[in-house]
Amino acid sequence: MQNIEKNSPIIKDKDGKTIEVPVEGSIGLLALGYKGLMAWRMKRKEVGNLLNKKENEQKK
Amino acid sequence: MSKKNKKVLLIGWDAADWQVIHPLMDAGKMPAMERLVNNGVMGNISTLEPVLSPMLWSSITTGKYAFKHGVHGFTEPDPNSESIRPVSSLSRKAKGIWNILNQNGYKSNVISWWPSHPAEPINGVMVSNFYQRANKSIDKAWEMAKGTVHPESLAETIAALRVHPQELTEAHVKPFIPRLAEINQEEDKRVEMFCKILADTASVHSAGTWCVENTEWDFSAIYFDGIDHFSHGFMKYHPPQLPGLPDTHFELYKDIINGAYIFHDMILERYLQLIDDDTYIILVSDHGFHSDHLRLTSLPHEPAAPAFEHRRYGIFCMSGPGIKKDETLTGVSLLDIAPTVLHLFGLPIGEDMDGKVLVNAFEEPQKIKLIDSWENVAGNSGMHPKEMAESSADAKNAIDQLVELGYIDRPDENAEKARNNAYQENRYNLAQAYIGANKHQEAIDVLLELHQKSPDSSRFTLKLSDCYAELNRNKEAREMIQLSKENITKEREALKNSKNKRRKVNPENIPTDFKILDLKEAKILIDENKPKEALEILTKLDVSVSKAPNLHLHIGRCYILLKKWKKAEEHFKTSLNIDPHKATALHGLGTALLRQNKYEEAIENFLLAIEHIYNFPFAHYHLGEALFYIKEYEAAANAFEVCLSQNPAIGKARNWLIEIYTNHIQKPENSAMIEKVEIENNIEEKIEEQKEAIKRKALGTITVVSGLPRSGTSMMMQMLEQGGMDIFTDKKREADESNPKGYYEHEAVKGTMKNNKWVNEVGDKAVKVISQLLPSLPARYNYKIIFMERELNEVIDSQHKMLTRDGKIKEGEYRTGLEIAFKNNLDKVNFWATKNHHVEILKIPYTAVIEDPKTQAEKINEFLGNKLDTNKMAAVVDAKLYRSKV
Repeated sequence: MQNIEKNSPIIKDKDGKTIEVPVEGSIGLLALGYKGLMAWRMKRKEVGNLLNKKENEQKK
Repeated sequence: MSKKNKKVLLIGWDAADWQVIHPLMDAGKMPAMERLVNNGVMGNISTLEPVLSPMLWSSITTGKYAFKHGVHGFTEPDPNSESIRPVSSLSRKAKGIWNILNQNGYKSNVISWWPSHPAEPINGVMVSNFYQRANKSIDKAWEMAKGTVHPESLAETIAALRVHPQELTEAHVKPFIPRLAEINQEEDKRVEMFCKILADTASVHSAGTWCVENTEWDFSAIYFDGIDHFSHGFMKYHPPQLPGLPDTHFELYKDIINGAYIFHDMILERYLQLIDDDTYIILVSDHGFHSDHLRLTSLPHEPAAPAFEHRRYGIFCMSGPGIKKDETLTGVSLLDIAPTVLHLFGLPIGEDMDGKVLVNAFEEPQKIKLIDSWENVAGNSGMHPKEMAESSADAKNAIDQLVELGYIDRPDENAEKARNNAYQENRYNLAQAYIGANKHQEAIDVLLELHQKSPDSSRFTLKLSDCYAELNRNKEAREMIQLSKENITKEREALKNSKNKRRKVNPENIPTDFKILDLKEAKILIDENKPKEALEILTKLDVSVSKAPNLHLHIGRCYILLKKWKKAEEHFKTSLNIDPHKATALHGLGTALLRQNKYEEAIENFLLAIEHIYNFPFAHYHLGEALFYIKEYEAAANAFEVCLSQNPAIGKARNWLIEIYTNHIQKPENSAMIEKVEIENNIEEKIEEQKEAIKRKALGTITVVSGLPRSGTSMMMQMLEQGGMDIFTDKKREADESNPKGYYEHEAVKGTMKNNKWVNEVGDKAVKVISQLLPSLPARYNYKIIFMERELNEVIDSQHKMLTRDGKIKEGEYRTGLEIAFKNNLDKVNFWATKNHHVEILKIPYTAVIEDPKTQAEKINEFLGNKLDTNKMAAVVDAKLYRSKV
């Protein structure tokens, strides 16, 4: 696979401020094209990992 | 490496329509679109017939009509199997923009163009139209058809950019359907359909942005079908609420259409961010979509019925270096996109392309280069080899998708029947494409073939009646109307008895209202110049006003023929109240106003008509006339020139042009029509040269022998025949005592005042036309007229003798006032000849021929181009026939 970021792309608004990517996604992210899609999927993955981690810790 | 710095981004929004966009832009809800419009040119774009997207997008990329590019529908018989397949990149026989660019060393990205599967091996990236649609649940592997991505090495990367509908969340849906929570999605499948369309759109955008950001390219074409699919699914819920639509449904889904457009604006915004100021951007739709009271509440019982929801005008915007800003373009056609893109790259336009370069979009237009055809240019175009075949399994998936979208019926399980149906539909579409290009005879050939196979189908007989009427073959047109009546009756019966409840059908409207047949008959009567008879039919029709803009259009036309301008104005206005975008009604209204000397208002309406349909020669003609009367001579000349370029047969436009250039402008060098005439003479010579150049635009030159009856016209015809000319005669009127050597007449000529179509049959022959009929000759031809002059007393005496011989009057019984009437007629002919530059007249005194036939024969021979045998001509003259000497 080429050129698809391994890390979550940073999404910024028009003033250059970083936008927090919502885990449920948004129309705005879809409208950004592949970068918005990747950022959203990364976020889901991060949150999923975090939940898994918490779940595993609770089990221990 | 891309070839040059110049880049063009072409974005396609299927079915996008200004009627939805304008209110959203006005409300500040489509800021990207507004920026694009303000920084460039915009306008309506005229679609083509039939309004079917795969055919239209193929015309956009080739600049050619469907009968040249080869894509004739949604599906086609598969030559490699016994079944059918969706139209594909293999169906297209002409080169697309990217193929031509490929041959010139440019790199292209093409995303989801319809049809583009299998992806063509171009220099760049192509993602086919099989890319985006998910056909399995998210927990199953989402395979991508082989051949979806070129180069194959990018397939995995680009496949990963697809958005699955089940991946979407409430956060994606609620901006479009705020009351999502109230919907029981188990029962109501509309949310699922919505998610599919949204996911498809996001997938295409995702692949598009990846290619634009991560490849070097000169040309990128990205096609979105989202607006079309959202519109087919949800336009019925768009405000204002349609009568009969339940409130709950309206409230739940009323925001989807606006939401879809706003989402596309956000997508556009992204592309505007990704390109630099040196990149041209063109945004175009293939047709519009009815969003007002003209929305259909039920679909006709026809294949590809959703296409009936399409509006004739789509959107066009273009911006970039050297493009005018904040201006409206008129007369844009889908066919113009390919030539304009090639021109942006400095490449020549194929003379076999049907579109034009949109020169009015440029601040400083450059010279347009031409080439005979790109199809003959050798070199790698990136098209598939002809023998390549598509996988049948992939074809089946794509067909399922077309069925789901309502574009085609589920193919018959009987493969042979399915193939026959696909063949029939494509032939029907081809016939419609011919009709759209005014090739009615070609359309008739195809329709007759279909009619032979399915004689009971009203679709074919109705179209045949239209084609015959266009060609003035009114007898055949009427036969087809009658057949249509019978066919519709049979179809209605079949429909009532049908068990097929799959499609919502209103048998009262479908397949075709009988009233349409009356409208067709009325139209024929109008063409036959029988407005009173047409009005009798039209005024009896009880068609509800809201559904029949054509009814008032035709009534308006009748009143135009009856010269009742005010009445005509009223009916055209009524037609426009029903459909404000009806170009023919705008033209009719303009004409009614023009005849009432309301020039400014007339001009406004002609311009609106032209804005909707640029290829409308009579609108340009009347615009020219109105501009002339307000002394806007330059603009008037321009309008007449456009008229002639669109239809050289409108000879009156030539006369107007000569009048303007001769007496008002005296700047013949400004005329596009003489650009090929290199002359350095003085102004008078230039004007003469220009007159000649304008005359050369006529369809041909016809030799006419004329004069008052009994002035020697038959003798002159005989001279021409003996001299070597063929004669246009049906020999129905035989020789008699009055004309012992024959009359040399043709029956059709007698009806010239009502029907002058016979002129098209004359060719190089000589035709006899009595002087009273001369002003009725159509100006689409030039005329060389040999006009026989004879003393009026002799003429009257000779006529009297002839009528007496025939027993029509008694000897010595003279009709009064003949001399004055004949004199008036001769004055009228003289005036007509001097005012009309397509007429050259040689006056030959009858007595001079009798006295010195050789000299007169030589004069005539010189006039006609020195092709005749003057000795034989002179030998014809028999002085003994000079019987009415006074």
